[in-house]
Amino acid sequence: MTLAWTLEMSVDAPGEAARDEARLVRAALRGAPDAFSKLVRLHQRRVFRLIGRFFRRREDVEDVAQDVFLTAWRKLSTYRAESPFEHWLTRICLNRCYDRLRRQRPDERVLDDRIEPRATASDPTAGIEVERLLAKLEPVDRFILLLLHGEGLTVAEIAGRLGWSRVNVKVRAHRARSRLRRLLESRP
Amino acid sequence: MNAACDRYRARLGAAVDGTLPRELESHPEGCAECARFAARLAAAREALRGHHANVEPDAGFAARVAVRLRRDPAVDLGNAALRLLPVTLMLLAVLAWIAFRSEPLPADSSSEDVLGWVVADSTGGRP
Repeated sequence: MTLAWTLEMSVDAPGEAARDEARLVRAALRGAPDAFSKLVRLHQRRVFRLIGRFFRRREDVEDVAQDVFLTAWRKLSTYRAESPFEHWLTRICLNRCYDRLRRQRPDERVLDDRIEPRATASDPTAGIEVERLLAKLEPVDRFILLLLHGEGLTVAEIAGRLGWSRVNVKVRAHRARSRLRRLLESRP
Repeated sequence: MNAACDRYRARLGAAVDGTLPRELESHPEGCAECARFAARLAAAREALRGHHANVEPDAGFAARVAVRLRRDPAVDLGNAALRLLPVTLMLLAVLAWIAFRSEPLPADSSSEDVLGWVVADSTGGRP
């Protein structure tokens, strides 16, 4: 799923589908909400899938997804058709997730208790409470680590998706990995 | 933990795919703490890969977004501003044209007149 998502995000929608989408964007820019609703239906699954990386509860995912499309509607006039619409939407989506994670209170950061810890082949006990451990990370660190290891994106890809500089992503990735290391070392 | 442990953990933490230089690969064989750290790191990365809500949008999602769009005042203001933009530009163009075409105003000499009157008054009308 990760690979498919990455490929979907990096390859232009070919031919007729791209032209249909461009027509919908132009219509929405003229103030047609119906055209924008069609764009929502076209992209809602991708948006949900990406938000689902950062939030576990259905209501959180839906809430952020609504914010993403509302922001997209408000900023539609800033969209430049040189790049695919979904790249532009992904940038909005990731930035909304990032903002939301930063605003979360510490008590909201605890991950879903129902998730069974995963064991690894090398050490069957190593997976115990890993989810809880990850919940102790700062939201910014978890955000970067989920993009690196969850989505499998490179530093350059993350920079491109978020509109951040590569140096900024590198620094944040380094900090996030260092903090994860300290957390793992601090476990008994 | 010695310098070798520190080097091993730093490199392992930074390696996205977990591959290490050959000289560090065998380090955990003789270091139980680092072996445990490596297992925990692998588990953490596995948890990150599997960290997903797997939530799909339901059939009513697009409709709920549409309702929020209709309620959003910023959208109305934005649309109104967009609709008024051509009119505003045209008005500005007309004003600029009028300003460009109009004759320059004659020099204002009223202050000189007042000064002349004061001088004449103080000298009794003599030059």
